[in-house]
Amino acid sequence: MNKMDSLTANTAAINRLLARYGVKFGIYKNNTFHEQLFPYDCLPRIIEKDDFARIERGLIQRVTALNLFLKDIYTKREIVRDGIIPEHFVFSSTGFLKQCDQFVPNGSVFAHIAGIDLVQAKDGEWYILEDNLRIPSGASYPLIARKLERRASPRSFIDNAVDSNANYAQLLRHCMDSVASEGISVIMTPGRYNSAFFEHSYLAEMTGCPLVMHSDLFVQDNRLYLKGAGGSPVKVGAIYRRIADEYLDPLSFRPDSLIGVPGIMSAYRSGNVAIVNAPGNGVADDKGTYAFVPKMIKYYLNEEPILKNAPTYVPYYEEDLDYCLKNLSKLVIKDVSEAGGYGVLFGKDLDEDGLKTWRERLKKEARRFILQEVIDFIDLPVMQDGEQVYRKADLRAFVISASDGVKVWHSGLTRFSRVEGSFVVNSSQGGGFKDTWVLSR
Amino acid sequence: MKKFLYSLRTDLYFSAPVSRHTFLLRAFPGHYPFQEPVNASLTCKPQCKLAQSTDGFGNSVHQGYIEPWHTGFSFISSGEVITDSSKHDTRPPAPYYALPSELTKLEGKLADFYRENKTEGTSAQKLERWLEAVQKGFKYQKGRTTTATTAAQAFEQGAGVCQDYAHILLSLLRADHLPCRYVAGMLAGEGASHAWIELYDGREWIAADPTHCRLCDDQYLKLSHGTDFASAPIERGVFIENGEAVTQSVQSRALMREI
Repeated sequence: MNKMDSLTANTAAINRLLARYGVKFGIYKNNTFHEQLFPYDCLPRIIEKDDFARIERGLIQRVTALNLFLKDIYTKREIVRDGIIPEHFVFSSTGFLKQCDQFVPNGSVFAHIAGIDLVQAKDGEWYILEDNLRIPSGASYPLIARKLERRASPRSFIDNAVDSNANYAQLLRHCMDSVASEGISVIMTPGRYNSAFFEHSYLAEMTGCPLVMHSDLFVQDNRLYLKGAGGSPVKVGAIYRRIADEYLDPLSFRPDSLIGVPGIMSAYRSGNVAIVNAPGNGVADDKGTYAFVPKMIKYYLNEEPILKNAPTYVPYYEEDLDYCLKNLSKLVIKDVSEAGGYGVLFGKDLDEDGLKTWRERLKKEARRFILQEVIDFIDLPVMQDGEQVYRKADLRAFVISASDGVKVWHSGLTRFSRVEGSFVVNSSQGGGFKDTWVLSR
Repeated sequence: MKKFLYSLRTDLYFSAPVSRHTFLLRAFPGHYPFQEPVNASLTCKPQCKLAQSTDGFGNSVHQGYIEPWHTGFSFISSGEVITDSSKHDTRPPAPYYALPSELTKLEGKLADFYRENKTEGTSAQKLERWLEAVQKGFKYQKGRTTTATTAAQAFEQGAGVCQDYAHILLSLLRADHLPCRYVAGMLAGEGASHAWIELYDGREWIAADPTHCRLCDDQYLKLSHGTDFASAPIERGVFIENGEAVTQSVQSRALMREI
C-alpha cells in the first residue's frame, strides 16, 4: 500500500511553497499578461518499474528515429526519395526551415530535449499523442514538486521505492556540454513575461548555467559571445534557447524579432555554437509528420515500433480516405497546418450537414488533414476539496539526446483536466499537474 | 567566354546614429560552372571583420558586427569575373524550389493570368512561353513597387522592376510544378543590381531574364539565389537606436565592364 496520507495533508502547504517559489505560468488574454499558479495535485501518477521500462525503450527508439529523420531531411532526404513519406508532407510543413538546409549540428543531435506526450488507454496500453521537439516545457514542475514532497512528507519516500528525479539538471547539463563547441553553456530566456519563465530560471539555477537574454549576447566573427560584466566577452559554446525558431535571428528569420540574437545562425552554421534544440525541428513534430513516425522507425532502425501512435489516417492515401469517409463521426480531424490546440475537430460534434461538408472537404483537400481514432484514456485520482475524484490525465515524458546517447528521465509531467470528463489537460485551459513517480522495484 | 571588371557599392545613410549593427551580406560572387571570380574582394565601412559562412541555399554569406555608433554604412564587392553561359550548374534542386514562397504565391489576377495562358510542353518550352507572356502582361516602371511587394500585388498593378518580373515568372513556373529560384546579381551595362531566375529543366539550371525577355548570356554575374528576394537578400542588417527612430536611405551603384 502506498502511504501518502501525510502528502495529502500537505497539499495546501506544498501549493503555498510552489507559489512562493514562483511556480507560475503566464498567459496573454485580451492583450494583457496574467500570471497564474499551476495547480498541483499531491497524488502522484505512479508507473510500475516494468511498465516504465517498456515506455523507456519505446521513447528511446522513437526519439532516435526522429533525430535520424531530421538529419536525413536536412541533408540527403532519402526517406522522401524512397517514397516512405510524400515530399509534400515534409516541404510544405511550416516547420521545415530552408535556413537550416544542408547543415548537421554537433554530434548529429537535433532534438536534444524531446517532450513526448502519451496517454494510457483503459486497457493499459500507452499511446503517443504528440512529439514536441522544439522547446518543450514542463520538466521543472515535477522536479521542484518532488523536492517539496520530500520535505513535506519524507515518510512517503521511505514507504515507496521511487526513482529519484533530481538528475534532470545533470542530464540537461551533460547534454549541452556534450554537443557544445568551445565555450560556456548558457540558457536563454525571452524574459519574465514568457509563460515558462519560472522554468527557465529554475533550470539555470539547477544546471549552474548563466540565465541570459538576447541583449547579453552578440555575434562577432561567426562566434557567439556573452558580454562580460565589465570584463571581456566570454565565448558561448552551447545555448539552450527558450525562444521559438522564428524569433531566433532577425537576420535569418522574422526581421522584426526583438528578442533574438542577430547573426546567431551564421555562428551556428559555422559550427561555432550548438543551439539546443536545433532550429528547424518543427518539420519532425507537426501533425502531418506524426502519422509517419512508425514508418520512420522501421525505415531507419529496421525495428517494429514499441510504442503505438493513436491510430491515424492520412486521407492522402486512397484506402485511408475511404475509411475516414465511412467512419467520420467517430474520428477526430486535425488540420496539419494549424498549431497547438487549433484546427482540431471531433466528428461526434458534427451534425448530418457538417459531416457531409467535411466529407467533401476531405476529398478536395486530402493533403491538409489527418484523422485519428479517439482514445478513451484513463482517469487518475485527483484531490478536489478534500475528496478524491477522477479526471483525465496525460503524461509528458522527457527524452534527452546527448552526443553519446539517448536517455529518458525517470519522471515526467502529468497534466490533468480539472473538469470531469474533459480531455483538455492544457495548463492554459486551467489544467493542473502531478508529479510522476517511477517505481524502482 | 568573357571577362569583366565588376564592382557593386552600396551606401546606407542613417538619420541618427546606430550601434550594435549586425549585418549579413550576400554580395560575394560564388564559383559556378558559368562564372569564375578572380581577385574578388568584399570590404565595408566602418571597417570590421567579415566572417564567411554558407546559408541553407548554399550561398556564401558574410557576417559583420559594428558596435560603435555610426551614421553610415557601405560595402563594396569588387573584382574580376570570367563568365561562360554555355556551362550550367547541374546540382539537382531542393524540393522547395518547386513550391510557392511568401512572395511568389499565385493569387488574384496572377492566378487568372496563369489559367488563361498555361500550356503543355517541356520545361524549356514552358519557360519560353511564360517569358513572352510576362513581357506582354507586365510593364517596366520604377517606383511602383518595393522590396516587400509580392508577385500577385505587382501583377495586379501591371508594372514594376526586375525583382517583380522575377517573382511573377517564378510564381507561374511554380504553378507548373517546375523547380526554379530567384537570382540576385549584376548585368553588364546596368547601373544597379539586377534580378532574374534559374529554372531546373531536369538536367541543369537554365538562367532566364524576364525583364529583358531572354535567356541569360555572358553578361550576367550571379551573387546569390533563393526562393525569392526576401529569402536571400544581398544585404540585411539590424541595429539599435539611441532613443530616436532611425530612417535609412540606400544608394547602390553597380559597374560591370568587359576587359
